[in-house]
Parts: sequence; structure tokens; C-alpha cells
Amino acid sequence: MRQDHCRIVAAGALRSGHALLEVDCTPLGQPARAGQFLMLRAGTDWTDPLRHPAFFSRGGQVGQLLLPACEPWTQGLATLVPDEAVDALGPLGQPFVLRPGAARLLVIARSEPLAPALAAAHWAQRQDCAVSLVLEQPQWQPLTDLVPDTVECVVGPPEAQTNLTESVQWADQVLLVAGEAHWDWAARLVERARMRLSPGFASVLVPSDFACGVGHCGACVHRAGKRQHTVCSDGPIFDLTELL
Amino acid sequence: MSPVWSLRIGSRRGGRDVLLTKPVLPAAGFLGYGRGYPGIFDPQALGAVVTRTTTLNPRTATASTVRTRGGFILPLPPSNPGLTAVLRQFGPGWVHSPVPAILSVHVDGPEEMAAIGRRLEAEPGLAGVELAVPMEIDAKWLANVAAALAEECDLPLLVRLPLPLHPELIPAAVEQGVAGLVVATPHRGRTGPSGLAGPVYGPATLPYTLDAVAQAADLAAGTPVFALGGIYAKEDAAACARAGAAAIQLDGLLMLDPAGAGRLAAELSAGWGEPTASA
Repeated sequence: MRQDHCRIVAAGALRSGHALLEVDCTPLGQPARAGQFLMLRAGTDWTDPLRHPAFFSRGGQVGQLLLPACEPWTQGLATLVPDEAVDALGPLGQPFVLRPGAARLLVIARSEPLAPALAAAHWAQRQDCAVSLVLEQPQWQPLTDLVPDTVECVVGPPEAQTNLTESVQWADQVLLVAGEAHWDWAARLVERARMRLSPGFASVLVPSDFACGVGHCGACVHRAGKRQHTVCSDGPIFDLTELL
Repeated sequence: MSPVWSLRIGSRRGGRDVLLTKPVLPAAGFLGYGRGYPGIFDPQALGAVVTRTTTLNPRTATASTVRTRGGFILPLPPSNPGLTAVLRQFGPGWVHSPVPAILSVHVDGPEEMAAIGRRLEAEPGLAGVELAVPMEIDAKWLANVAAALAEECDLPLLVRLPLPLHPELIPAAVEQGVAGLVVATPHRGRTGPSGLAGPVYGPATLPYTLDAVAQAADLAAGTPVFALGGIYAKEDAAACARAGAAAIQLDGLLMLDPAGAGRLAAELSAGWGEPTASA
């Protein structure tokens, strides 16, 4: 983790309503990985007194950040031009990992942040893993342009996918990007498809706003039973069995 | 050249005094349990580490942070794993830490404080306790809680008062021999959508901090006052010193600009001004 000014390589807006930033992460000392994020400072003064989490939609030395454009803080960042710089802290969070031997990954994105779903698809493809990506909202269709052509993309509510159970049977691993309201749904889906939900099979990116991004403040703590998970530093990706 | 700053804080019984050698501390919750920002902000720039506010039992807040225009609300008490887990996970590190560790605690009353005190007495790495005083308590509550800690353990006690400042709490704290007054937890606010109520942090809180520090310093009878709230720059710290603060606690700057917070801590360590009398 470092804090430094990172050069903007490219910036723009997508028809999905997202802003896209390509950022040279060299000053941060390590390439970004799927599931990780930066804490960005949106301005140079103190009128916006907290950093904002920005997830990578593609890792690497030049990382690609996908930002929800409806947020006021992203509007200024979306207008940055190449060679301008953004104050970044990171990379933060535990990266997404494929479990050993996984050759087929199913990614289901039902809520923001969508970036980690895309980053996981990228990462898995680079590991020679077949990837199927389900994006719930029709307006997210343009995001399919951000993943390799070899990723199978489906846009629409997962419940409407007649072959979703077969997709879960096909997969060696599932990544779900969705809030708590959908975790039981995901568990039931896996149980229908595979008889039981085994640890390591289904991961969940837990959507949360981060204040510090490094586990100091406790603002993003999620409780599951007697266990507490600090989403920003222990996660943001957790095994589904740990959350239920 | 400015004299070297130092401040000794002591317990009521005088058994476990601590010498703070730098005038900058983190506010509770802004530097976790003391690990800092590795490679960015070295906790050794600090006089002590004040931990995230911890409760006797685990607590998960019902809402997370909420951003407001120009500020943010954090729940108080925050989510935390409870005293037992905190001591198990972080206590060994405090023993070897070059920076004193001060555990911030939130209690319901004297019995809970006594229970915490019994646990902390045997905690060799801990240098002190900071009590997060809830709103709407009276001087008797504060005196009883401070006395309960002193009965059970010999650690210096800092008392973190909330805004609006209730002046009658200050003599009550001083009479109990507290090691310092932290002034103050910012005013409580509430947001619409989530309904989260808690202290509203941000740069705009500094004028309230300065006013409260000046009031507290007048009533503190020599007990050191630690300024907390909206300190983002060297001139803010200087204003706190002029208002009567012996040291400062950084809050939002640590999240917004940890590298800048480190530079500010280093600057203030080098040039805070005259040494402050020991407690």
C-alpha cells in the first residue's frame, strides 16, 4: 500500500452511466489485481473530506477503474484528461483468487460495484479459465465491451435465465457481486445445482462504502453470526459460507 | 530552536505514568488498533496511539459511515470485536510497540468500566485508557466511572468529552485525577436516508473545537487538554495551542491524507513550542 499521485492514462464516460479511468499504478509499487480497489481523493481541498473507493475493472500496472457516474464525486474524476494525476491510496483489499484446479468461472453481478466482476473475468481468462458473466441490469450491456470476447456475457435478471442452474453445475467456482438480500438466493441456487454449498465454491463481493479503506475505522464491519468481517481489509470478497 | 515537547500523564495512584514525547495523537477510530498505514504513515510520528473505541462485548453498528456535505458521520460506539478479542489480537503487539497504546473504551456505566479495568490491569502493553463519554450523562456518572477504573487498574485515564461541552463535567473529571481531557467528540448529527446518528467529522468542526478547548482549559486546573476535531493543518494545531491545548488528536486528516498527516505530525513534533507542564 502506498499513497501517491497516479497518472491518468485515459478517461471517459460509458453509455451504461459509468465513468472509466485508466490509471498508471506504477507509483503504488504493485500492479492492481481483481477485487482490489483504490481509495481516491476526489478533490484537492477539504470540501470532500473522505476518500472514495474505486474498484478495478481490469488489473495490471495500468489499472482500469470503473466508477458509478451517478455519484457526485465521480463527475470531477471523469473529466480528468491524460497526464493529469489523481491522489490514490492502494491497492487495497484482498485480491480475488481462483481455487486450485478451477477451469470454469461463473460471475453474477447484481449490484454495484460492477468493476470487480469484470476484473475477475479478465483475471480468470488470463489463467486459461472459461468465464461466463451475468450482468443483471439491461443498462449494463455496454460493460460487456470491457471484457474479452471469449467471455460469455448474458445481460438480464439471473432469475430469468432458464439455464442458470446448468451454469452453476458447469462452473468450478462462482463469484457473486450482490448485497445481503441476494446471499440466501445464491446459496439456494448452488444447493439446487450441486446438492450442497461447499466452502470455496461460491465467493461474494460484499458491497459497502469504505471510509478509511484499510480496516481502521470499523465503518464497514459486517457481522455473520458471532463473526465480524471488516469488509475493506478482510475482503471485500468472502466465501459465501462465511457470510451466512 | 523550539524546546523538545514532552508531556507526562499519570494515573490517579501514580503507578503507571507515561511520557508522551510527541504532541500528536490519532483520534479514536482513525488509526485502528495502531498498525498505521505501513509505508505511508509511521505511528512513531505520534505521541501515542489511541485505538478504535472498544466495548466490553463485541458490537456491530447498524449503519456504516455516512457522507454529508463537507463532513461524515461515524457511528459511536463503532463496530468492534469486543475487549477480549482486541486484547488477544493486538495486546502482544502493544508490548513491543515503541509508541504507547491508549485503549479507547465506551461503557454503559461504572460496573462495565470496573470489568474492563480488571482486564486491563494485567495488560502489560497498554499505556492508558481513553473514556468516550456519552452524551446526556452527568458529573456523577463521570465521577463514578472514573473511580471504577481507578479502583481496578492503575492506568492513566483520558476523558473524551462530547460536544456540546457540559462544563460541569470538567471539575468532576479533574477531581478524579484524570490524566487529560480530550476536547471534544464533535457534535452529533443525523442523516435522512439511513437515520444514522453520530459525531459529524470534518474540517468545519474546528471552530467548535477551539471554543470548547478554550472553555476546558479555563476549567481544567492544569490537567492537559487534548484538542480533537477538524485539525487538518499546522495553523489549526497552532490555534488549538493558543486556545490552551497541550496536544492534539488528528481525526479526518488521517483518512483523507495519511501521508500529509504524517508530515504534519513530524512538523508539529519539531515545532510545537514551549514544553507543557507535566500532569
